[in-house]
Amino acid sequence: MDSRTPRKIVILGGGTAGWMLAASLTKVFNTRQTSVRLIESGEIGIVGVGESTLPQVRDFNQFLGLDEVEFMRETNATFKLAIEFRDWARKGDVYFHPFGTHGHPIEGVPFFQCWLRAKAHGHHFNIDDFSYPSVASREQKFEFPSEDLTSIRSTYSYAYHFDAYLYAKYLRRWSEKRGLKRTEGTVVDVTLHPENGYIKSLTLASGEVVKGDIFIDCSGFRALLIGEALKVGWEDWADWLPCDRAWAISCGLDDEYFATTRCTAREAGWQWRIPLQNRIGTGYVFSSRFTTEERAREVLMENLDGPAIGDPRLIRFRSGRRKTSWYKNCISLGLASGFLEPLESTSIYMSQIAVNFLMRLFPEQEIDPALAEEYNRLVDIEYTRVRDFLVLHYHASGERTGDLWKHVQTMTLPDSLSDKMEIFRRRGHIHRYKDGLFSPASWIAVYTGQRISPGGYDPQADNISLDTMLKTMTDLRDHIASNVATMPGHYDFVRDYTHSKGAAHV
Amino acid sequence: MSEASRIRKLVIVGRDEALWLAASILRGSFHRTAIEITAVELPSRRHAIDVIPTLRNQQAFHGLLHIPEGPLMGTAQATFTLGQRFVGFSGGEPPFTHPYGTYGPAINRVRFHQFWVKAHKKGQAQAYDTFSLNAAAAGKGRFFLPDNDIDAFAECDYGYHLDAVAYCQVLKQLLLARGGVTHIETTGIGAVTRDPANGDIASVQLANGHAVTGDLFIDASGADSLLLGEAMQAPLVSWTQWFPCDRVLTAMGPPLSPLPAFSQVSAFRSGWTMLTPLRNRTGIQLVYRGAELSDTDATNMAPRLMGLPLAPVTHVAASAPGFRQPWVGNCIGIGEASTRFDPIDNVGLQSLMLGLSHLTSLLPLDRNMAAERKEFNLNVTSGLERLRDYQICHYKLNKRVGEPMWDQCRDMAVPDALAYKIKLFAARGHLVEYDDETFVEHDWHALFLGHGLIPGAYDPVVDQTPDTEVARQLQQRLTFIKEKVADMKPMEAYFTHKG
Repeated sequence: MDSRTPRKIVILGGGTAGWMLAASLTKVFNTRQTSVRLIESGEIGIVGVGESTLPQVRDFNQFLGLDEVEFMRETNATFKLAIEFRDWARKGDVYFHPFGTHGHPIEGVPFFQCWLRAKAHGHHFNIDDFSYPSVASREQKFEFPSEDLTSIRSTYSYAYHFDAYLYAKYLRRWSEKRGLKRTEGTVVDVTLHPENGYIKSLTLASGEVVKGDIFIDCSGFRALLIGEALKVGWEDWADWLPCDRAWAISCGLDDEYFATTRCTAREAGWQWRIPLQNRIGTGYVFSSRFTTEERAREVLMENLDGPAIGDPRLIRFRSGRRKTSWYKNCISLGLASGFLEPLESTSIYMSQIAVNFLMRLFPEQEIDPALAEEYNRLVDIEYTRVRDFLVLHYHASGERTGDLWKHVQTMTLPDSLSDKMEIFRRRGHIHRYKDGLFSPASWIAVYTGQRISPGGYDPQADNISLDTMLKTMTDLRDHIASNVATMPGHYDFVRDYTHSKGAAHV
Repeated sequence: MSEASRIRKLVIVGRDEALWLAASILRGSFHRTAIEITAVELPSRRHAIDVIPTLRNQQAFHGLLHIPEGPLMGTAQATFTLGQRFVGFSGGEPPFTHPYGTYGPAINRVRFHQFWVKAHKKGQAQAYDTFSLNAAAAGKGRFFLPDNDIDAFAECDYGYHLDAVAYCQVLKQLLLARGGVTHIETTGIGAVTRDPANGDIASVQLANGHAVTGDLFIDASGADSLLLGEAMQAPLVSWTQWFPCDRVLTAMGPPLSPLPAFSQVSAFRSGWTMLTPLRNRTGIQLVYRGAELSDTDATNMAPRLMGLPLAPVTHVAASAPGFRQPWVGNCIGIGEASTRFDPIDNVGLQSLMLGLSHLTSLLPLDRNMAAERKEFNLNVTSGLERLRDYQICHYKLNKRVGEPMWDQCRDMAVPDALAYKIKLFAARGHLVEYDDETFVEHDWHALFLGHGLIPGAYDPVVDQTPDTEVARQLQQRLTFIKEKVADMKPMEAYFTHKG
């Protein structure tokens, strides 16, 4: 039995992070032995502007055993195969960052190196044409990846767009049904143990004192526990990621929705467009250093794809992370632990991976500091990897003009990023690492999409006969195109699927 | 990239398996390009009694080189190995096997070893390696190739024990027969000329006075490190503080029958012995501390230690583990030319392949190769250090109390990355995994648990699966393993070519 398991776990805050953890704890621990209690302030009733996710979220849903059809209905979800980037390095540019690789090695040589060699010989193939999910995205198609691993139709993964508020509500119902105790209330005081500085209890506005062994801070940017009570500092990344505001709004569907998140570069930031089943969530992420809130609002309102639903809402944020995410008996998740703008749809992933690490390193009643140290090391790696990848989009913005773009094009990069870019610029080599996002395929998509051209290519590519190589590439491109042509449209697929009785495709 | 200074000529200077593997791999990747490859062969340092043991990856490398397994094994008197057995490292504890395979699936998403730790704490667990099919098969004198059932249960691999001289001959003959590489034999090298402008190697003089020029020089000369160490003066960073043994006696004994599908490492007061079965003989090594045991005494005590009559042919060499940054200027040291490993865990060939696989994907475009050099040194150095860390554990975690050499090893400070790894495993059985590791999670679990590093606590999620259910699953695994092993044949039945 679990005499070593903490008896009382208190989660403060019920956003996506809070509910993802609450659901995980409910799933894993017998609630009669381990009490999990979530405290959140009253429901605010915000309409979600759309959340874009990564394929890993399917592992999470599967872990809980959610039914995919039910989940999609409950959260207004659509499928996602890629992010479509518009106007980033040059006005009129469109490229995809897909959930899949580009091509396959030819005679053992990485496909991208073959592509570079073809280009050096004057054969300019569009790299997107070799990615099944990119082509499907462009054609507004969708179907589930094939289970036949020899088929081109198995060479991708998928994620969802959904309403994050509805997702949190859905997880709440799921958890409460399984015994999770939720309390509505606001914290007015935090009491620390005088001898070791651990959090002892929270005092609610109702006067109730909530004791616990482990406190999870999901209170958002306010970071009531880790920041205000325990005084753990924040590492600011605004120099590299200067955007600090967003105007967000929903608009009506102008057309059929398709399976991509769209990110369009704008004068002082970028605009997201996330299709849900019943509307489009959109918003303009901008830097208050380089534009005004009024101007940003105008930019957003001039670029809606359908009739506005209500007024735009202003969201303030700051890029960076908590210096120590797990400190003493307090573990911060979600915005309390860090924020990276949603350019690469990493927000849910960051909560999910933190939940995973925490479940893997879950402390006993007596907390071993080694577990906290390792948790913090793992979380650090994740944040830093994503940060570098985001910075790349800004920095490699080619010919864009404007103060924001001038700043990011000329700023000093983190060493971890400039080293990666150096070897890529030289020869298209992708530095590999074990932990954290993103895979080499993602780097290739973004490097090429942002028009970073390597000066050379791997000499191994010269070991293949040029004719064989070009024919293999052409055949692959045609094979992808002809297969995509027979796929159903995304809009029809989602409509049919979410109206089907049930399915087990999570 | 600059067309004028493009890399056109690779010169490999070396001997034995380092030379032939380097030349074969580079030929395979570049022989249809404009790059010329020259292999300068120095006299062999291999003795007739030497054995090369490999880890599990060698099979894949041979596949890339199109070296057919059956004929290679026949010529090289080779045996398969399912793992390595360690005897006498942990006080009175029974021997354990480091299997070249995994231990079966997780239970309710929690890694299997966590359940084992709980059972162990309750005094209810059989030895950890009884849950490994590789270890069980090896222990029963059997060998196997995975079928579908086994593939669903675990990833099971194997390595080889190869006759060193014959292995080198096979590699050399295949390379020369395939063509595309200029082969020059020399009794030694003379002056190495360096470009006064940047210090790069311009040419290497042969014994006949002829100079071989090139754009990129690969040093495969072994521990002599003729180019990287001697010519380029890359400093050697000693690793001897972590490896107490400085002498290696190599000997041979009669073949074992039936042939065991594992090698055996046995600790004794002043070092350890290794036994590697070949078809026609048994390779033997004594690795020891010279200050405690003279070469003569080592030679005299070997038959008793091994329990085998030994042939009169033996040789003794020094062992001094240490590291040189592998790529300096236009010179790349691979294998021992860069890094000399302790003989434990048979990592020599793996370290060679580690360098060669990175070199293949980072062969520089032109003479301005700073970017490739930086990336290569970063990846390869961390890969080599992680191999070293694995080896250190055999010494650090020993429980031979009261023997000076082993007592010192237990007390020594280990590299930070390893100290952290040990700390997290000791705390909760959590494995810290770094970039560029050859040994993966199951290898480390086998090492730590085998040496008796039992975590202080296990994952609390383990408790959510009822004990009766866990006991049932563990029993099911043991039954599966037992039934599979009963169907297996001795290794000899898998030899397709006789030596």
